[in-house]
Amino acid sequence: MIPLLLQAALTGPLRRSPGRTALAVMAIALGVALGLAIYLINRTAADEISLAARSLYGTADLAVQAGADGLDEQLYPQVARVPGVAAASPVVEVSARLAGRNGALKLLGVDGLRSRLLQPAFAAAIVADGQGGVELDPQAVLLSASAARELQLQVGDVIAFQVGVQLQHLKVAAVLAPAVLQEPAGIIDIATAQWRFERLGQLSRIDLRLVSGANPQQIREALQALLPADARVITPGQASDDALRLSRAYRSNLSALALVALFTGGFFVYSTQSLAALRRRREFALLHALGVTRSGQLGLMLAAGALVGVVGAAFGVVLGVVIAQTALTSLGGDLGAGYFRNLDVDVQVGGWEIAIFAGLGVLVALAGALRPALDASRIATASALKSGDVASGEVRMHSVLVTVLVLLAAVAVCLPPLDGLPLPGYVAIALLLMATVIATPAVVQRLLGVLPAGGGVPYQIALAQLAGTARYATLSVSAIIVSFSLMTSMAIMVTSFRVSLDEWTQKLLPADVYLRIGDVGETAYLDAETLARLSQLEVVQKMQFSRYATVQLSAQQPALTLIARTMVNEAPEETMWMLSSASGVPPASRVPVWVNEAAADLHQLRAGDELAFSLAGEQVWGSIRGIWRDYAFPQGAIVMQQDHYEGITGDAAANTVWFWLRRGASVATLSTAVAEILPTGEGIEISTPRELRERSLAAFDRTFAITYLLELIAITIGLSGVAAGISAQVLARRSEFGALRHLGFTRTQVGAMLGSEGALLGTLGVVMGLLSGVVVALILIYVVNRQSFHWSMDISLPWALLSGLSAALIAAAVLIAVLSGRQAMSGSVVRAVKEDW
Amino acid sequence: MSRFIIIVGSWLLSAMALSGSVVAQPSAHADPAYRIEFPRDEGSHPAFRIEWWYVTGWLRTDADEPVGFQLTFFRVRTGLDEDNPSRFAMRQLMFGHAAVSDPRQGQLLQLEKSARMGFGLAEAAEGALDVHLDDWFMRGGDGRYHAFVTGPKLQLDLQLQATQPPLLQGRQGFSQKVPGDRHASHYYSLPQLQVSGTAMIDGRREAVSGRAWFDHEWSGELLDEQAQGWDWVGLNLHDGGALMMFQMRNQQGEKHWANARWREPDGQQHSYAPDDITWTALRHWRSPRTGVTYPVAWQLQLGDRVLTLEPLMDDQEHDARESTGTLYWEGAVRVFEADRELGEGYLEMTGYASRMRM
Repeated sequence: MIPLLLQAALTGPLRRSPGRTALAVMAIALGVALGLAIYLINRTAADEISLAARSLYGTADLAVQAGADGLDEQLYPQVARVPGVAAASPVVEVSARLAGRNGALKLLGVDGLRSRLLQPAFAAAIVADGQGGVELDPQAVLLSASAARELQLQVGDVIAFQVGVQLQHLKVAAVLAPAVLQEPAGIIDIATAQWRFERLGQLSRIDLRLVSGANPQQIREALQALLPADARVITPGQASDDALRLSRAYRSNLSALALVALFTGGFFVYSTQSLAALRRRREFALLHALGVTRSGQLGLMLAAGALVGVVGAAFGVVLGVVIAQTALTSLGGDLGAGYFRNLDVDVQVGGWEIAIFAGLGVLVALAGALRPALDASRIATASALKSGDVASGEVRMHSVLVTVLVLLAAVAVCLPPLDGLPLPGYVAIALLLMATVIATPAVVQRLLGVLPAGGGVPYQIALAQLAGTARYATLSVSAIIVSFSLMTSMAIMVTSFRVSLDEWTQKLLPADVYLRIGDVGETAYLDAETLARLSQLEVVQKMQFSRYATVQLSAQQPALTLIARTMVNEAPEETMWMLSSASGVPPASRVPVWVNEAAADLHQLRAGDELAFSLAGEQVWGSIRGIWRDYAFPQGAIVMQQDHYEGITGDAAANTVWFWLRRGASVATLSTAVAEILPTGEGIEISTPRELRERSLAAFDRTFAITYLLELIAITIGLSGVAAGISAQVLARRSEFGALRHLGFTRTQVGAMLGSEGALLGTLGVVMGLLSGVVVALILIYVVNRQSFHWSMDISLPWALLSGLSAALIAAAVLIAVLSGRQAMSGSVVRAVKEDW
Repeated sequence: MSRFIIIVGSWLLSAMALSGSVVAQPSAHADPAYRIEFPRDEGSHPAFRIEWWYVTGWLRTDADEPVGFQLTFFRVRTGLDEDNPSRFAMRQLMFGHAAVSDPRQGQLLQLEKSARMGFGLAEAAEGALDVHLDDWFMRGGDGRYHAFVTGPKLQLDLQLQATQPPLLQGRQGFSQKVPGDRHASHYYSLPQLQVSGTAMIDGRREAVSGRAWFDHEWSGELLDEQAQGWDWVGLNLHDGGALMMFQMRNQQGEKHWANARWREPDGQQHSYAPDDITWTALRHWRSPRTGVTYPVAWQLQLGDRVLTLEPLMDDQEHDARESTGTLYWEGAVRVFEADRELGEGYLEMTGYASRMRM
């Protein structure tokens, strides 16, 4: 009896509609796969970053980390003598511009005899090579395995670096074993780093090992008392946290998207199970009559959901690991966003990680099955045993619930980010979507009520059918509402961002030609003499330039980029996209500065505020004259007039130059002239604004490639939901079609009726989806993005894309309805009518 | 003569050889006409490539158990970075090394330390003996010295008191190492130093006393192409006498150069030419760790006198391959004439595993 019952109530129905079961399994599988894959990619990248930081710090217990201005080397003996410090290893870190190649190589200048105590692996790697002593060679560089691979260098090769406009050469003395130093970097002598790379008198870090049994807290305090305000005492663990923090917002946003996919999957289970329950009412009633208890009934329904969940989760786990591995190999650990360099790693999957994501999949499937199962178990046996009860889903308003949800969402939107993450924003989105779904049946009923009643008979029947079965009819469109609203919101957000970025790029690049040498913190620059010669070039009508430096506003926050730029203090809008400006005139003792949005958010700055920081050892008091929009410096940036900067630091060099050409002069002529002035010409980028704009948009698209992919998957799941829902309903109405045919309806007319129903449902889904999508987009743009990345953007609606997608979705709904109808009517009319009895 | 950091020197040399592009700055060379003066020459001579302050000796614990010890500071002028304005420029390096031969341990306990000179963390003063390397130091003058080294398993805190005037080695302190005057050092010894202080050996702290031998030597270049390694011994004799002798071996293992100086208790000195000196191995010991065989017992012929050397323990091998890539043997020995124990001292033997470069 029991196996038979199980077969009748559980596996039988699943097997009887293999297509729908497969779709439900697929939805869960996709959700689990995406969630797991994104989690694995994030975790692998995070592990790699932590490992890299650990290998960088060796066996250090603590490190004294310089602020943006560097650490005075005089502090080194003082730090080394702090009681409890067993070993102190000074480090000078430079981002050395590679000459003749793109990019920079991180060089760590160490005292080999000191670092040996903390980095025994460096020394061991050398001795193992049988080349004892290479670390004492001032011209030698020891490359990490990853750097040697990336730069395709081997022992004996010479690397040229650009420092200012000069070249410095180092010889590869050894390549370290991969485990010794994870990240792409080179080890050189500290004296060479200070001298050849212009860091005389400065240190970046002092790594410390403590006497065993020493009290780290006491030592920290003793150290902190010695240090300037912008230097920090950190543990290697904190260093890896800092490295991770840079990409944290990006990574958590991706995770949120992945969870959305799983949520959509759960919703899909809900709609299919509800429809199945609806279709099988008489079966359930029969089971009751046969003596199956209501709780047994509930269990059977839930078991069916769980079965879908388990199978889906199993597929999802396998798929997730495959996706993670593929993505890591082809896109990198940040999925192409450019946060960290390519990671060459295999995904390691832990048992509990699989268990959690598989469990999540099963849970979501169960949650989706719960409501339909409860409904099914409450069916009144007698009435359900009779036929014709199929459509009796009464519609309730749930107005209190919907209002509460919307209010809660409104509250969440106003909350500040949690630990730097826009979690309240995501909660608000989830609440809004739930409210939309719950409100949908009532809204649909109202809407149908106001639709014109005219038109052909098939249309009127379709209208009547939908109005009478609003609750169930909307079930099949709720999946489409959820996925379409998410897609709409993403499309709006991405478009707004892209349009704003494009406009920003154009504002930033008003000149004819743009020359760049060295990025923030890198060793390459143009000196004053070279700049003067460039400005005197015959083809140049006007020239402006800027210099990068770094400043530290607080020891706890990452350093900001300082951009010293040729500009008119009275007309900042000529060079920046101003969002707000201070009124009045700053006191003469204050240097006018402009901060970007990220700096304003991270450091709670407003136009008119004062700002104190140390620059090249000088204390600078700035007055914030305005906030500017920026997409380039998420850690914060400060703009200052170049004259002020030079006055404070004496540094007249430049990293970027804007050229306005004389009438008739070509970019090629300028390039030739520049190459003559700059002998090391290879390391210099000369671009036109058009090229730069294309490059930055390409980088943007690359960053959002993964977002597009996730959107596509969401819409696929949504469409599957529509397909399954409509076809299930249509198939359930076989007898109705039979009756209509008996009444003289032609197949075409039944088709038209179903087509109208599909069109109405599709349109409803699309309209609801669009409406909630726009609201979600607003939350994404004004809350989530702002809190994650600190950049604002102007809303732009991708009209063409949205209308195209809407049309496609409605067409798909019509097509599915008509095709299902054709299948339903394929049998004999007589048999279809008979089925009722 | 000596040692461990000669090895460090070879480390440096290989560094320069490897780099090719580096032109090492020439070092000052030992000059036969130079006259050593005190306390001036107890201090550092930074113009010379290599210099060491080297103490070896025998200690007795409270329980009257013998323990050999060695405590050394080296200074090396690299010849590199001469024009580098950085305060980290590695023009001068400092190395410290200490070891005890405690028969209760069965093998050596060692410490080592190294740093580039500067920032007050590692310095060697000129004009008087004052060298330090982090918390390690050796300083003093006028016959009184204080040496301190410390590490996880070993700590030595020793007061050294001279009982005799300094002993100038070679020709009035000009010590020739191979045929010709180019490869030589300035070299004096302080034998028969009275030692008192404390030693922490493997966690056990004990008061110790004993006798030590102090060498101070500085040079531009020590070894020529033929030299493979050397055998050196410094002995405090029970009658108050002092004997230093060494031989430089060539690559065939034969005597390439040799020298010895014996000071009688009354101050009378005997100097021995290479032809008067014969080292004959009596017994070999093979290191179970490295497989290198060392002659640990010797017969020494000095003119018409015949002495034998017996080690305090056989295993006094220094395995410095981790840091400098070399292996040598250095340890406490007793010296006998016929069957009579004449005194105690230290024996150093290099070049048995591979050729020394200097």
